[in-house]
Amino acid sequence: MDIIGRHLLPDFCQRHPDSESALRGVLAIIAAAEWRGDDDTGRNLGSAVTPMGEGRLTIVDPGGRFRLIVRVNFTRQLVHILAVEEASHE
Amino acid sequence: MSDIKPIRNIADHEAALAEIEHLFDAQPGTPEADRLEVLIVLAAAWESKNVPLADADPIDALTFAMKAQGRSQSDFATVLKSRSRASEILNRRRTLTGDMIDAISKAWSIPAAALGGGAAIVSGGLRRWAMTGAAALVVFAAVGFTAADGVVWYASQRLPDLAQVEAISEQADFVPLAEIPPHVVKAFLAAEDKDFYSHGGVSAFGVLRAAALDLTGFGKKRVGGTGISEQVAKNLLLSGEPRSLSRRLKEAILAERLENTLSKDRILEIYLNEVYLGDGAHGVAEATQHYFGKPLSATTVAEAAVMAGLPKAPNAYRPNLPDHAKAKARRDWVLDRMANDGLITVSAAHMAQAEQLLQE
Repeated sequence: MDIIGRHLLPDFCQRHPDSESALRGVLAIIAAAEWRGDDDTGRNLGSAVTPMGEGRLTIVDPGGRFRLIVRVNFTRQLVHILAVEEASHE
Repeated sequence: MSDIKPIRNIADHEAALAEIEHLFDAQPGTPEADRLEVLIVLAAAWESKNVPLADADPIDALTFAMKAQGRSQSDFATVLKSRSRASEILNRRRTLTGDMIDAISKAWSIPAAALGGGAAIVSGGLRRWAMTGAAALVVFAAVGFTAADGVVWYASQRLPDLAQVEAISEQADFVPLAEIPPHVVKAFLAAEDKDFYSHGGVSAFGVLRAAALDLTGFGKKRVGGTGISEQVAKNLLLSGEPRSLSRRLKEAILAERLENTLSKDRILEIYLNEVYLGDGAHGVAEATQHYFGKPLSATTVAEAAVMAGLPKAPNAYRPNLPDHAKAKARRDWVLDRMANDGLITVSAAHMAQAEQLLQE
């Protein structure tokens, strides 16, 4: 998948340095994936991913440090990072 | 498309992302999708240059996937069939081998590329765009094509294997070029690619020019990408891939590779056997039987022209539609082209144009 919206990540990593390796890990998985639908996201990311409808996904770090909110265009193979925030953030 | 500008600062980038969100679900093949494609490339280029993020470590990806899927180190040891190796890898004292990556990927559906080392935290294909090609896109969107080779290099990654093209000749109903009547060959050359035997490969500049003209919408008709080699690349290697700038470039690059690998006769032979001619018919032999109820060897010049007119819009120009007008106009246009190109005489074209589309 192609990923855009990465400009949101450095600032978050600076504030939460313990998140960086997991963020790098999940983005490496996404970048290498070829998702055709929600089933594929679940196969790769297990319970960390929750479809929110209209192509939006929430990906929660299993370590509880962050969650990513992304929008996916499966046809274009594109993931747009809309937000990264602390997992406890409501 | 003409108002797309390079992204020079954060404000430009945010504006591009906002527009990407707006166009996010654009249908492939529409001007909106073309605009989306260029905006994505520009945004990714800016991020690659301005967002400082380290490349991902395969163990970061593995660890995240294991936790997300609820896998334990013991599970990992089972996949690797070794507790010590599992421990060493997770503690970065040992690197993953190809066999290990295959085993993990199959067992847990983790993309192998994420475990292969060097997987970038930034996106896969777009990172290459950003590093090598996006600058050219910025330029071609505005003024020129200065980094054409870089863009073409990006599109040349992850392309299908040309062996798939050769495999078609193993089909039982494959017809060698020598058995295809010359007027059938001439009709297709006249209609689809009259310079097929004289033009060479596709230049980087030519690829970008065609893509830029397509995307910027200068003129109503799409340009480029309609040559016989590109059709073979598109139909056999890229079928099902939505139209996009990257597919457009891939078609051109694959066509160039085909021309560098196979002879012109061979490409034409494959094309005439695989081209879609409507009503489920692929290739000239099947189409002759389907539309005219005869073997390919018995095809007339007029019938050849009917078939040669089909690739552009197979279902619109079918001769067996109740309304023959479009099919006849298309056939007659092909016959005129054949005459103009000196492939048949003018009188032969006129005689063929007087024939009925389908025999009673």
